[in-house]
Amino acid sequence: MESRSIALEQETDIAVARNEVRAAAAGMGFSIVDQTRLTTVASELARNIIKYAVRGRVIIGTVQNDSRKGLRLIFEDNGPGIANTELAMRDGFTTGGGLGKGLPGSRRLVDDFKIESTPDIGTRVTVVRWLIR
Amino acid sequence: MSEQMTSTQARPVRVVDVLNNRTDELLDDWIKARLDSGEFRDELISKKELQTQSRQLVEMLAKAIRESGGRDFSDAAFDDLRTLLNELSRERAVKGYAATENASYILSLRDAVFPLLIQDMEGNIELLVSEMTYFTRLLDKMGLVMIENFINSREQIIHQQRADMMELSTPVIKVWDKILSLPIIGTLDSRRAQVMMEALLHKIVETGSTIAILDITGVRTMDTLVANHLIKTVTAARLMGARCVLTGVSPAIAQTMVQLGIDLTQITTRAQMADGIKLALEMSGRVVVSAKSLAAMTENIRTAGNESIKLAASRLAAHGTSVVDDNIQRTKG
Ligand SMILES: Nc1ncnc2c1ncn2[C@@H]1O[C@H](COP(=O)(O)OP(=O)(O)OP(=O)(O)O)[C@@H](O)[C@H]1O
Ligand SMILES: [Mg+2]
Repeated sequence: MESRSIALEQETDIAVARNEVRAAAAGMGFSIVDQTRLTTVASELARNIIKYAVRGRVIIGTVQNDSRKGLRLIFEDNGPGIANTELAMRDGFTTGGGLGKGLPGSRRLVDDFKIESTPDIGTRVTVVRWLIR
Repeated sequence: MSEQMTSTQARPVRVVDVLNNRTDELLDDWIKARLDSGEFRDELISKKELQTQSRQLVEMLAKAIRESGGRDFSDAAFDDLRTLLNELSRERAVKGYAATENASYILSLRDAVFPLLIQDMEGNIELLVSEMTYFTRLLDKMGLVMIENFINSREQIIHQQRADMMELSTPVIKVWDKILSLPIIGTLDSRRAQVMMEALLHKIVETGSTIAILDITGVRTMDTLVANHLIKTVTAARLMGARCVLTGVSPAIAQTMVQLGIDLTQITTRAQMADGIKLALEMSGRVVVSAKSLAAMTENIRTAGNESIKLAASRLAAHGTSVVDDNIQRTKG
């Protein structure tokens, strides 16, 4: 699968991202539960971009490591960034009246999770879920 | 000086004479070519409509060229024409034309104009070339405007359709006396979740219901937003004296919810909608009994000599004898 990028500019784009991620995961042979996990992660991280950074994008692609294959999602934006990512990763931390579960929950739903953020520059969240054969 | 910088210099334009004086000839050729092109879609536009549109376009084009004094398409004299092109392309996008059909409609005007222009110029090659160059440039710009607008309109339509799909109305169904059901289907954004919640709370008041079954069988992804709305709905319903039962949680969604860290233990949950209805009936003091066992129960009561059982039997009779008899008849038959 070639990697593809989806623009996140309005709320309807979240649904588009979700559908694309589900299709990619299904195409790679992920189980229904894994498809649901990845779709939920896409929903959370895409919504964070729309909500806090206004616009950004998600890049859907595959990664290969030794004998394993994985689905990688990169969510990036040029929004306000997060001053304290450690704090943002805590369960229940929210500045937007949410549950504060989006970031920490997403980390639990994938195998690899990386968040990079610089105030006034933007945020990039990279996640990978490996396919078990 | 400044004029030269913003726009090409004004000059007399002979192509206007062709557009003005030979309009009918020109339109005949243009429209005939369109009809023969194989791109004319009579299911989308009538021949008459095409004629009217094309005439309007030629007239406006001639007027704009004349008023601009032969300047290029960016000149303010072309504003009205630009508006007309916008309208045309939007209309065509709605009707379902392809982008190329839209552009070639404008570009093909050249093929109708050039033969007439050649006749008019009577071998003045230099002027002819300059007129052709000018007119070609204009048409190219107009074609681009058509395409650009067409694409924008199409995108708007797609976005609108997406929005419409998400707003599929969510009906609140009365399952039983004082029992409501809300089947949630598709994608839930914040607005739709809000609308749904309000509809449910209204219906609770309106019907005096005490139990609401929220069924999420049709929801493929649960995320914090949807969960948050569910929790809020359940809390609000509780404040109004109604209890909620959540049904249709798939194993995949259940596992995802747990890992996401969302606590739904406060909400009564059943796997299937049917289990939810059964629970709701029980919660409102009703039981679902098969007609057969009801018959057996009634028989037991009748044969037992005990006074208290007789009392119970008479009470049962006072409440629903006719139904019971009816059911018993049906089982026996
Ligand atoms: N892309 C982003 N740009 C800027 N800030 C962000 C971004 N993503 C998250 N944040 C910050 O991190 C906080 C935590 O995000 P998280 O997704 O965990 O919770 P939430 O969005 O507040 O609530 P929810 O549980 O509904 O997701 C947010 O409240 C916000 O302050
Ligand atoms: Mg979030």
